[in-house]
Amino acid sequence: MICLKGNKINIDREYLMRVKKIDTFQIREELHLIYFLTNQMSVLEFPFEALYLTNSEDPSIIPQFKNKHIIYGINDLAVLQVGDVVLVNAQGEIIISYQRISNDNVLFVTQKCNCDCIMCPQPPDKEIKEYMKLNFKLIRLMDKKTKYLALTGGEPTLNKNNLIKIIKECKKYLPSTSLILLTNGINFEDFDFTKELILISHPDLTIAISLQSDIDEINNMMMGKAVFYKILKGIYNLARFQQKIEIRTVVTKLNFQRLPNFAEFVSYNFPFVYHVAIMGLEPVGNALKNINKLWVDPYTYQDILRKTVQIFHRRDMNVSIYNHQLCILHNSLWRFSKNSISEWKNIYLDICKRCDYKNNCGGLFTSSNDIHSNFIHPLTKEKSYSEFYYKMH
Amino acid sequence: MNKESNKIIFFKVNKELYSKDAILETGYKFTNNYYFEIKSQDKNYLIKLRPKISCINVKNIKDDFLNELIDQQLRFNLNQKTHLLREMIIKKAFHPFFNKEEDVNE
Amino acid sequence: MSKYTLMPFRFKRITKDEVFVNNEVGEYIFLPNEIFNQLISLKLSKDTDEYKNLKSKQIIADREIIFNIEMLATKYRTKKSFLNEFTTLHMVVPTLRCNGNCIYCQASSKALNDNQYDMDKATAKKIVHTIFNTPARAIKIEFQGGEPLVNFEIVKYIILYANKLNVLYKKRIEFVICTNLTLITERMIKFIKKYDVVISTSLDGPENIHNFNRSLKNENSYKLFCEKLNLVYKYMDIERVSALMTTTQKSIGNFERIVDEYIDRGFHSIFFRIINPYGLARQKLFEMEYSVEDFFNSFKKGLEYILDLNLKSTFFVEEYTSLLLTRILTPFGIGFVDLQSPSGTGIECAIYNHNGDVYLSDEGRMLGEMGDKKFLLGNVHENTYEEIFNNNFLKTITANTYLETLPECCDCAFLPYCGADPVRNYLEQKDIIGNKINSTSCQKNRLILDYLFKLIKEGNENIMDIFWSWITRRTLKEIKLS
Repeated sequence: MICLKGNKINIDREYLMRVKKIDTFQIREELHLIYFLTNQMSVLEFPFEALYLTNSEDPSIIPQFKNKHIIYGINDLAVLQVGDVVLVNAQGEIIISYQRISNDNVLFVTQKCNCDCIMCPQPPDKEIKEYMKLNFKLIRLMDKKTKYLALTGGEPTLNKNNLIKIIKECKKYLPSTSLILLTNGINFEDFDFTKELILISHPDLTIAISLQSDIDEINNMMMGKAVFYKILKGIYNLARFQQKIEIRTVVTKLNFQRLPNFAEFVSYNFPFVYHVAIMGLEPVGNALKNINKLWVDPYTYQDILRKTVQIFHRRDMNVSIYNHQLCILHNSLWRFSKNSISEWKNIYLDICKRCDYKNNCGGLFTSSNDIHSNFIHPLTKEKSYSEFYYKMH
Repeated sequence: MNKESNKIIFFKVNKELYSKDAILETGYKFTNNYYFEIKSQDKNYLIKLRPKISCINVKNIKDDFLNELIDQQLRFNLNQKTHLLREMIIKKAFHPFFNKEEDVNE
Repeated sequence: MSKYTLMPFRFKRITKDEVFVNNEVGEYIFLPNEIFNQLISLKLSKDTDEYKNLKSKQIIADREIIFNIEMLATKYRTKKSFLNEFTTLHMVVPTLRCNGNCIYCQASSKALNDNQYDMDKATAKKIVHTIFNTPARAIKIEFQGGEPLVNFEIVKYIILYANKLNVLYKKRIEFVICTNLTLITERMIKFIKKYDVVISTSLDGPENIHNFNRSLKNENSYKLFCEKLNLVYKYMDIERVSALMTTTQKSIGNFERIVDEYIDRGFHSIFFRIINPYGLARQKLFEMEYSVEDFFNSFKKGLEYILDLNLKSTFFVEEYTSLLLTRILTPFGIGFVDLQSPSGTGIECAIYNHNGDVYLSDEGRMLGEMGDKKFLLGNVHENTYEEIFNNNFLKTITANTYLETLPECCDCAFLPYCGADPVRNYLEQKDIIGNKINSTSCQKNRLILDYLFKLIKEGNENIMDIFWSWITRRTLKEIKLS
């Protein structure tokens, strides 16, 4: 999450606030931004609280600020837009919880998890935070025109009642927002819970399930627990209700060789799946800790990746490649590659400045600055596929 | 009318090694080109194969029969091991709430 | 040594070094002999790739046996989905009269001036009511004969009455008319187009083959056919017209030329059909005797020719291959009546004769016309829907055509891709189960499936792309990765 910092005045607890208005004024050739934030959820709600953010180093020059809650001297303030929602804490830190124009907005349902995935980018903190109250407020502060919202964690299905409440809130306050639930699917083994969730009848809910292999040994080794068959049972339960399902798999040294077998397994056993996402590793958290067991240069598995995508594509199943750079992807796979990395953790290498396809490419994770393919290189428009690939074969 | 062959192939098959079912299945497979007869004789079955038309080459017929018999015996054994599971698959396919976990011998 | 359980599977030795193994729903794997031997003696090591692949395909399981069973059961149910809807294909014979003289005719057709073989309105109305009793939500009403155009009045009556009745039932209806086209007029075409009727016609090949197989009195059958086809195209989309061919001695060795003829006439698909041993065919057997091997050799050459055309950007499908491939490569069932276990006859399709007699298949009806009414289910004037479709005879046929319980079929590795043909067995061997070795449909399917699996195993990217373009009905360009 993007976190802004500044100096606080009159702030001694947490505030969840939406940016209502941005004023600018010029003082001696310096542009001062004043952000007016409220926690007002609907126009009819009174009273509500207000909070001001400014990039000004000296708050006394702004007369409205007397006796108000203020954070001043914020450097990257311009990244915030009207409609965005921030969580301001007692230390004066500003955590951006929601961005109106973003397609990558996320709701953390909980930090707890029922697995211990070897490649988890966000393993649970020692200090487990409680999100529910915040989430209910956040949902009501979000713009109704928000297109997509992901529900994640930890494992969002851990507290079944909480999840159901959140989805109901989303249905009520964000009826035209597409929801995607990022889950390991284990709790859907519980038929009654699955039924209860489906009975909410959310108009556009996709359940994205992580599955790492076609066999239990590899999947369970990667997820740290014997959960393979539970996940399959969960998928079946969801399918019984014709729920839209996505399957996500992370490609690592441990499972890349069986990717084609995995594709055949998924396409034969779960032909009803709406979308399959083949994801590159994010080398952060547990993934970073275990990088030696997990890292395989994506460039080296292009033949296998192509075969895998071909299996899905031939069967007219939707498949996407996430978190891979265009220069290391086989040319025939470019059309499946999506710009999947959230803007706030998205970078390009120095070498990418010379690449003609930089604007089409999703780039890398910030955490991939030191851990990425050895074959990343700039492409020129005359050659429509990777020079390196051509030379290698 | 084709001249009926007088080339008859006799051989014995040990009852302890092969089941009657497997032998009958194997014999059935040869009935397009041969007349097949089976008799019981102490510890063996006596197999008789007579070609339906004279021009058939009977040189390797005993070996072919025995090879096929091994596969049929194998199928018979596999069926013994897996037929319950097969029945469960079909029962569950058309009666999804059927639940007979107790019956499965692992 | 690893501990694992063998799940139900079937096997076939395809070469001297390899065994073809598949599970209850036809998911297959090729194993070297040595690995197969280890597998069956429970000595296969769990560190091998083959162990993992066999587990992935549920040919072995080392835990959660019950859930593996459940997964196989779900897939099995999907494969047998034709059972869900009961009778979906309803064939109607508006007349036995026909102007044609096809040498293999199974219609036992009557002369053009013999009106007693026409269906009357009362029978037609009763038939439509019987059809609508089916629980199927989507039905196909297919007109056969004789030549349906000879009694086009009844065809129109049935279509209009069915649409009227459907306001109440709200089923999805598709109408098909199987016709030789030679008697079609502009008025008929306009009606056919107005009511979205699909035309299924017969084209046996270029002029010499077509005229030999399908002669007309005092006319050049082929020339008349082409003329009428052009007339149809003036009003109707090519997509609404399809053709199939029947193989005779004249066709053997000429499948490539037949395909060329189809392309010239604007068709996008062909169905290479082996002859049916019924009707006039049996009396003239000596004139067109060819072996199943002959048929297969022509089939193979024809298929190779078609694959080459697809590679050169002409989308053209061989329909029987496409059906088999859907069976082999996808988890889905198919709706083709002749390739089902249990047989689709009677339960998936039924045919209503001009006099209201209901038979379980067209071949059964032919047998009835020749005097043997073994496959008669009832008559719409005398029997209720329940009496026709829920009688013991139909149940016996269904029980006796479930391949999983029949000798030889039950162990055959091609079972998941094959189907029963009880009427053909009865005709060839006087027994609806029949001895497979002598069964022409078994021989044919074995040869074709052996060949298709050889191609699949070779895995040539272009050929596999073409196969998938047929299965998913997309162009080769869309399927190809680059």
